[in-house]
Order: sequence, then structure tokens, then C-alpha cells
Amino acid sequence: MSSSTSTATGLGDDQATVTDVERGALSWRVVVAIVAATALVVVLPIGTSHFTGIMWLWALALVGVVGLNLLVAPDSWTGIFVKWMTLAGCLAFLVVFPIGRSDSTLLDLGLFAVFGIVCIGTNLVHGFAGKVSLAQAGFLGIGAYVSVLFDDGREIAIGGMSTTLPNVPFLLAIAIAGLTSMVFSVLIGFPALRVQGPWLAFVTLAFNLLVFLVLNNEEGLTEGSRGIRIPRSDVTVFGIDLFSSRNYFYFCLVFLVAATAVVWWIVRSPWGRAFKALRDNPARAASLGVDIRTYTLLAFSIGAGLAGVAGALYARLIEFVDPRGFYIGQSFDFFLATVVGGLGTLLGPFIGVSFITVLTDRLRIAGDYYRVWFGLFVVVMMLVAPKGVAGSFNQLRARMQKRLQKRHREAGTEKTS
Amino acid sequence: MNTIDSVDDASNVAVGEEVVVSVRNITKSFGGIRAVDNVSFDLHKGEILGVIGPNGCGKTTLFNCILGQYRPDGGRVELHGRDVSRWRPHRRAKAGLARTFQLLQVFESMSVRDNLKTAAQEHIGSMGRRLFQRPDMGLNDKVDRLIERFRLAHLADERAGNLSYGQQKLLDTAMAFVSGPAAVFLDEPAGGVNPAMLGDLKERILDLNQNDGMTFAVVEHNMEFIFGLADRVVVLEQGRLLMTGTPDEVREDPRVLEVYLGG
Repeated sequence: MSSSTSTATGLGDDQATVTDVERGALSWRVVVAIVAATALVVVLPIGTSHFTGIMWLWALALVGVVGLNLLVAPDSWTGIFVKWMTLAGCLAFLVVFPIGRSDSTLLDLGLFAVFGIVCIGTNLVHGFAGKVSLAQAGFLGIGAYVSVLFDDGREIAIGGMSTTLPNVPFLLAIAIAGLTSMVFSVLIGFPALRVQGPWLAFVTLAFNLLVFLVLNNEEGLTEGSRGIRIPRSDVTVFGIDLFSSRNYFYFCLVFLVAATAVVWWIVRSPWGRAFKALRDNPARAASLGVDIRTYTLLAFSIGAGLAGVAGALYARLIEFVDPRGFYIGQSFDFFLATVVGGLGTLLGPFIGVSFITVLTDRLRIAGDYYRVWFGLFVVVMMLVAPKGVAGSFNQLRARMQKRLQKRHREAGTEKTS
Repeated sequence: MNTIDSVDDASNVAVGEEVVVSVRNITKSFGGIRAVDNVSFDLHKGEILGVIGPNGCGKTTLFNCILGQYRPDGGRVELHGRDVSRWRPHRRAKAGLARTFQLLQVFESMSVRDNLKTAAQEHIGSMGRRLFQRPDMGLNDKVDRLIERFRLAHLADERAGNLSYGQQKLLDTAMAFVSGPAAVFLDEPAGGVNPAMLGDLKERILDLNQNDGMTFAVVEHNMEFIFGLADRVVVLEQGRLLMTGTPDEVREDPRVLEVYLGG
């Protein structure tokens, strides 16, 4: 590495020491994070019916895969191979695991897929474009109710007028649900553009509350707090019967994979750089020609559109919609899941969402206290790993790579001398 | 030498000199305070124009009005004769008005290369097309040349946030050039940069000015730095234009001495 005289300033040296301190602090943080996560996944369910011998195998496989990804250089051909094999492995797991599972497990897996789509959207808005949105549950609700209303040929009454909505195929209903959420997100987006940070959070939270109140009180439209039963028994797509829980999970999985692919494409395209510029420094981005208004609305509406699609899937997954499922608390869950998983990483939403779905189920053995455990877990995670699980993993890997390279170089110089 | 009275007539524009940016009667008030009061000047192609004045005289406010961060209460900004006064900042940037800010402004989480690509990408193609273009948008060569020129090659893949202050300042400046702008407005480029790097920065600016014919307007507190750099200097005092002239003229003008020493 060449260093010109101009760069060898005092500032550079100071910085090196700072990084060293951070490195020291990071290692114990990562240890605490790993212990906390392990405690939650493995130790708590021990001695209950939830814990089986096969779980040790899963845990072992997980440790092996994570370790392998940690050790290979991410930019090398081996690293790329390992990364793609890991992704393929995860996908294969999601395809094979549901075989022969009970309906309740399949429901949990379905929730994982559906909420995963929401969190991928949240991650795009918050993790990449840097805008806090606490309205994701609202958009989920809009999507869910729209898909329900457009499905049964329902008669709706609003403001004294009543009409019968057409009965549309399920796939079209999903598309309409996503688009409706997008339209609402642009409507809320324009005023939201004027505010930043916590104020934006308040605006979106207020919008979520508004959606809840409409769902709860406009009985002519939504049946209010009674909710609407929406059985899956009549749903077929391309001749495939989605009544079977496993088929429906696979159906949701296709959307999850598609959502991941779309967001992956966006963040690696020039749009992704514009979003990150928006997150790091909006004023500077504007001064370089980035149209911050359009990009903000884009991020917002893509995130909301994904939540809307997820809403349509969610309604059919639990076969029932009711306003309480779209209350602001649910938005906080999505928010926490995305933050704990790792903002601005592609893997983060998956990790986060497994905490709020699979782990919530695991923690049911803690009875009424499971929210307490989850809350405690979030607090610990935020203290020890502010960048979330995936973010901390990336930090750890970068550090290990640096160390390995150094060792490699030292070995090289010994040989030559 | 031009005084405040003669700025508005065209006599100060040398024949054949093309005006890139024309600032006409810009006025901006905050509450009861007139931060910029009826300021007019022309920025000619290929020149380096210094903007100086004591603290709080409205230099940065003037820049913010020219580049769209503030909407002026009155006056006009023209780029190549086109009125851009009502455009939003990103549109002015795309039209060719680039700038840096007084405080350091790089995208900390991105690599040096990505910082420069971000600075360049919005000037190419439409937004819809950009989604389907290759991530590097064919900018690699251009960006690498600029990195080389700003002596940041060994840091090209480093996170911008990990760079030293001086290096970030260089990157910040480089980002203003990558799109090939018509004029670059630098807001205190020398602020907080240590003397060793100051020469480097000056060299880069002069290099771009002399070899690429780049046009500059530079707000600066460091008199030594600006007098060694500028072809022409504009002096502001309490929001008003005090005088314009060559560095030598400004240095010797009694009014300028009074503002800096008497005030």
C-alpha cells in the first residue's frame, strides 16, 4: 500500500488508535450478543416439548455455516461460492422443512414468510433510505382488507352509499392490495417529506393509528372489530389448491423470494446508492443532483407496496382479518425486528423476522412473560450490537479478514527474508 | 476596480469573456436581519472568483441562495443566461452548478469510489433507466481517473467515514467535479485542513482550473489561501457588496482594511 506524504498526518494516526479501542470493545459485545441469541434459541426451550435432539443438529449446522462464511474472504471466488451455497441451502431448508409438519408449524412458517416481506420493505425504507416508517402495519392492514373486499363480491357501505365490489382472482387481488398501499403511501409521503427523524416516526405512527380507527369504526366497510372470516378453501392459483397449508406456505415463499430479489436488485442498482446517499446526508445528495423528493417517495411506496402484498397473503394465511392485527404495536414489532436483524443488510430482515415469529412461538413456554423476554432481548441486542445481528456479523467478518490477511502477509515476508 | 455602483452595468465584463453564472440583486432576510442585501456579480468562464468578508457577512447565505438551498427574497440567478432561481437544488446541480459545503459532507457509509459514483450517476440518463443499468454505470474509468488525480487511489475502497479529515475534504471536493459541472462553488475548502494538505488542495484546484478550464467561486476565510488562488475577489460586508477587484486591488483598498481591522 502506498501512502503519499500528504496523507501521513497526525489525524490518521489518531484514527488508528480509535479503531483499536473499538475493536476491543466489539469483541465482548459480539460474545454477549451470541450468548443472548443462543440463550433465546436453545437454552430456554430445553426441558420442554419444544426441544428435540434434532435441534442440536440444526444448531450445529447453523454454527458451521456461519463459521464458514466468517472465515472465507467475501470477495474471493470461494467466498462468492460459499455465499451462494448458503443461500441455496437456506432456500432448500425452507422447501424441505415444511414436509410433514403440523398445521400450526406451517402457520408459523407462513407468518415468517409474510412478515418477512413486510420487514424487507421496512429495511428498504429505514435501512437503506434512512426514513423511519412506523406505518408498516397500517399498510399491511390496507393490503389485507383490500384483498378481502375484492374477493367475495362483498357489499360495502360507506358514507351512506353502498356498492358491490367485483369478485377478482386471488393473484389480481394481491396486486390491487399492493397498489392501493402504494397509493396511500404516496399520499402520506408528501406531508411526511417535510419532516425528518423522530417527527417522521410520529407522522407515520399517526397514520397507522388512523388506519386502525377506520378499520375499527367503518363497519359498513370492514365489519369493524368483529372482523371478517376469509376461508382459503376456494382459492386456487394456476390450478394449484392453496387450501393445503403447505401449498400456501410455498405460495408465500415465492413472494418472499421475489421480494428479496426485487430489493436486492434495487439496492445494488444506482438507485441503491441514491438511497444510501439520502440516508447518509440528504442535503449533500441534493446538491449532487439526487432528487431527494422522488427517491424518498419511491422508497416509501416500494416499502408500502411490499407490506400491501404481504397483507393480502396474511389475510388468507390466518383466514381472518380484524383491526387489532394492524394496530401500532405490530408496526413496532416490524421496526424492532428490522433493527435487531440488522438495518441496511439483505439478511437482516430474515433474522429479525425469525425473532418475532419463530421465537415468539418458542418463547410461548415462558407464558405471559414472553413479551418481557423479547423486550429484554431487544434491549440487550441494542446495547451490545447496535448494528443488529447481520451488521455485527459483517463487522466481525471484516475484522477477521483483516487479521487473516495480516497473518498471511507476515507469513509471506518470513518466507522471502 | 469595480465598486458597488458599477457592478450592474456591463463595463466590468471584459470583451469576449463568457458569463457562466450571473447573480442579480440577490436579497435574503432572516427575521429582521438582512443576511444578503442586493448582491450582484458575474462569474466568468475559466476564472477563480474569491468571496471574502468578515464573519457573518452573508457569504454562505449567498451561496445557499445561488445553489437553491435557500429561496432568496428577491433577485435572480442565471446559468448561461437561463433563469434558475426557482429550481430545486438537485435540478441546479444537474444543470451544472456544483458545490461543497462548509462542514464536511461525504457519504460516510459508502466507499470512496461509491461516493464519487453517487456524485456522477444522477447526471446520466433518466431515473427509470438508472434502475436497470449496470451498478457501475460505466463510470469506473472516470471515477478512477479522478481518484488518481486527487491522490486517493490507495483509499479507493475504504469507507469514506474512515478517512482522515483532510482526505475527506479532498473527496468532498472531488465529488463536486465528477459530473463535469459548468461552475463549482466551494464553501471554505481550506477550513480545518492542516497546512501540509492546504498546498495539495490549492494545487488540485489550480490544476482543474488551468488544465480543464473549470470555473470556481470560492468562499474562504484564509486570506493567504484565497489571494494565492483567485483571479478576482468579491468582498462582502454585512450582506452588501463592498467591492470587487483583483487580489492586489482588494489587498490595498482602504475600505477592506477598515472592515477587517477597524471593525
